[in-house]
Amino acid sequence: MTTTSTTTAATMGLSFPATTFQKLSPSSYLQRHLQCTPSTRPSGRSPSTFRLATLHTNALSHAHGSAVVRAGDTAVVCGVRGEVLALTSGEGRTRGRIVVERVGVEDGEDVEVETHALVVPNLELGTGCSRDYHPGPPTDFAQTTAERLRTLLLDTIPLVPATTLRIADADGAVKAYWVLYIDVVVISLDGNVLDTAWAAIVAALKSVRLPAAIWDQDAEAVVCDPAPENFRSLELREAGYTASFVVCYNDGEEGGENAEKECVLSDPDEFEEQVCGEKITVAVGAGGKIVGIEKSGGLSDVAKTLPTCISRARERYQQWSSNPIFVTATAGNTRPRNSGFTPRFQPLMSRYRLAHAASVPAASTLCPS
Amino acid sequence: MAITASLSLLPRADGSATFKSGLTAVVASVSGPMEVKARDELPDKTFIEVIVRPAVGVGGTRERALESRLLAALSPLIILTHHPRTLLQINIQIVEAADHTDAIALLPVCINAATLALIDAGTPLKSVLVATTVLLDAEGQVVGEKVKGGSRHVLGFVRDGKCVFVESMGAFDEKAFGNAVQKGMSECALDAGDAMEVDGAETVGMVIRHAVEKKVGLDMRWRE
Repeated sequence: MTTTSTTTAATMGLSFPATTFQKLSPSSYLQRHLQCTPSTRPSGRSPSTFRLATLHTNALSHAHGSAVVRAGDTAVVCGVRGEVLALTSGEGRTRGRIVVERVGVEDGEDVEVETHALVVPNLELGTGCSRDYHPGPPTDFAQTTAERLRTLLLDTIPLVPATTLRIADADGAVKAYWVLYIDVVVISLDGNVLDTAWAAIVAALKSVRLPAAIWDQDAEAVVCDPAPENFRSLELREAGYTASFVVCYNDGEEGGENAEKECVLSDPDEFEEQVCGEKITVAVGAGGKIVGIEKSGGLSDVAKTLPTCISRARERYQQWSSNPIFVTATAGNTRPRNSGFTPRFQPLMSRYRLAHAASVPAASTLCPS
Repeated sequence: MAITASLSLLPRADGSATFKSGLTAVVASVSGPMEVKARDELPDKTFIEVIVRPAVGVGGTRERALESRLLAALSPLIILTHHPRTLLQINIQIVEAADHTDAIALLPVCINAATLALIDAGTPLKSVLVATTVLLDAEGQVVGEKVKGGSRHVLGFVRDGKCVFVESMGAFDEKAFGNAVQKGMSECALDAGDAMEVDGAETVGMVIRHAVEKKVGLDMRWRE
């Protein structure tokens, strides 16, 4: 290719657009940004800035509770649906009885939640959320994140006490439980799914309105009051929130003695997560107490990186807990739900009972033939 | 709680080790560098795969989460650039567990077994990761048994005593965490001077050191 202009020779040198540089050498691209004064990330944020999160609750009309949380380009929808788990099952000759012996009756133990699997979180990476995730069976990443959310919900920040899920009869004996199916769908992925998904779960649980349910001794079934104004919220414990970070080494080498400076980046986006292998998550509970720390993927000393992470995580906890959606319970919400319900008492149509209702004639009683 | 470890038990694997702590026992094997699937091939690094198999049944989300934690713990130790375009496969078989539902309790045992297996396989390593569990009470003091209101810390230490791996759960503050790191450091120390015997039993670091010394002794016996 012949050139007639003298300036063309200079432009054909070693300069190329920023996006090309990002693809060719992602770690240098990130480091050059962090080496500027003041340190900036490619997205324009400073290393200690979290993305502003927006929350909306009760967006899904068929779920008992729901929330949509968006932080930057990471967007997550969480729906909570309650189903009844009766402790007696079967009809006529096939009736079985499960006797529940509660070990460790104190509220803190929550053996019931674990044994009966009363809280079932699940995470799904929706189609099109990211270039890397295609439709199909859950990837290792989805399974790992679902398991981390489950550990958070059942052990680290046990929001849901068993007491709020019990359905008792007139004497107060527990005959059934509400089981909460919590489904999180990631609709857009740009790093840090865990924090966003967790905030969505907390918001969705706080927005849950369950029908008032009692055990009817004559029908030997759980009956619910379909009137939306009689729906009740869950009595949850104090919430905690997570904050995730990545550690970037300002030297080209991933840690070791040569790494002069480690830079802790708050709320990493997709690009930063791929470049920096070392990830830290801090969970902060009620009163600013640390309730969980996870750190892996690098060789940075805990003494150097953790104090920064803990103080930033506490600030993030303040941001989340002062958000109006988390502060006020949605007690005043009388948005009608399940508009297909006819206005009288009827048994809650769980999937199990629906199957039997089809086969048993209405006039028959529950005596063995 | 008796801790035992041994190396080179599987003749067909490049490296293998078993690590047993109390009632929890795990066998780890390392194979590689070996042929990698085209979709996993990395042009400048080794691709590391961790597979965890439970004692009973087929692996589920709990095992996937454990694999992900182990991969994150072990990857930074391995010098990946020595064998580019290859695969390093780390297999962990849970043999027994004190509590099969408690994945966090399995984590330090798996890390230690994998470290020993990597050493046995001769994988190029930057350092060695030794992990232990430290239990604290509500005041942040080290205790021997799980206490209500306390916290549990799984901590991994490298050769020079730095804590680089953390999986902590419970209610605690920075001071309590500092206590846990101190205790963990002494338990995981690989040098005789820094370690101390706890109730007459060997610490994790000492067990690992002796297991490696025994293997090296066996390998070098032709010199005598």
